[in-house]
Amino acid sequence: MPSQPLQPKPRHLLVPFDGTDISLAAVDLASTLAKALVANLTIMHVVQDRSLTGSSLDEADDGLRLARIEALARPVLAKAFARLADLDTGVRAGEFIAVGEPADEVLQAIDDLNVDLLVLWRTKHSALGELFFGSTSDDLLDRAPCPVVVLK
Amino acid sequence: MRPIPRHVLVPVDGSLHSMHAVAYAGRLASSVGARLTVLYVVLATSSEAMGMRGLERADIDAKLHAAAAPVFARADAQLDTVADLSTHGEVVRFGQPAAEIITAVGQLDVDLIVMGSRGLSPLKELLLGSVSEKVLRRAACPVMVVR
Repeated sequence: MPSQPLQPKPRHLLVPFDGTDISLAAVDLASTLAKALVANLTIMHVVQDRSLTGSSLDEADDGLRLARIEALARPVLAKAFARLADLDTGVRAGEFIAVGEPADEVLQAIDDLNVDLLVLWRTKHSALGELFFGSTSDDLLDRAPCPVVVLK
Repeated sequence: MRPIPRHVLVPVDGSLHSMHAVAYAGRLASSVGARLTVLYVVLATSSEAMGMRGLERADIDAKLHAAAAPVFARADAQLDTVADLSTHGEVVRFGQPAAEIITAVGQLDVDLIVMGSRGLSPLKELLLGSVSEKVLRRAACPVMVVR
């Protein structure tokens, strides 16, 4: 018998989103699970532009950098929230934008947001422009401290 | 894809990880109103399997169920504490675990697999066990990995 107590039900689901069809399907799964579990849901987008990481001493530079990050992330996240509205599950999701390497940023978000279920997907091929191909998924499966559900 | 799982399959190998997966799957199935089936695969290479050569089908089934009984008893103990889980199914198969799990998904109309990140494999350096890895690669439905 396990010595630990039974794990509680998930309370906060995180779904990384990159705008691909499979990531839209992940939003479907995450939102229906969040509704059924009465859990919180956060939709996350990672901007992978290294030139936008870090911060500058110059406040004007920082403002421009943040505006650039928003300009890249907003249209992508808008797609996820449009899908959420279409699904009409009544689930209201939070949004989270990060800049950097996807697996590292997702792990950081799990920690920062107290996420206890990560919703991922796996594609058979890593087409150009797909941010979350197999290796990121594999990396997160190995490193995530919480349960992970992987959509095919 | 059906977004809300209706039938959750939790493969077990008797390891602590797999028993955690049973508890987690039980709570999840109960929360979403899904059916739950516990699957145990008697390894083709096990001592139980070696003793089955030349036996009648009914005798083989009896031996498989005898081999699975202690593992199912532990799974039952996990699930007894889950509120609102009316019943759960138990299925025993014989062969290679990953292949049997994949086959069961199709035969039992499973739409979510919940499994431990690693099982009884002695390869401690692998965070994701080889069975979980194979199931992740080949299963047609979403796979939840619990650690």
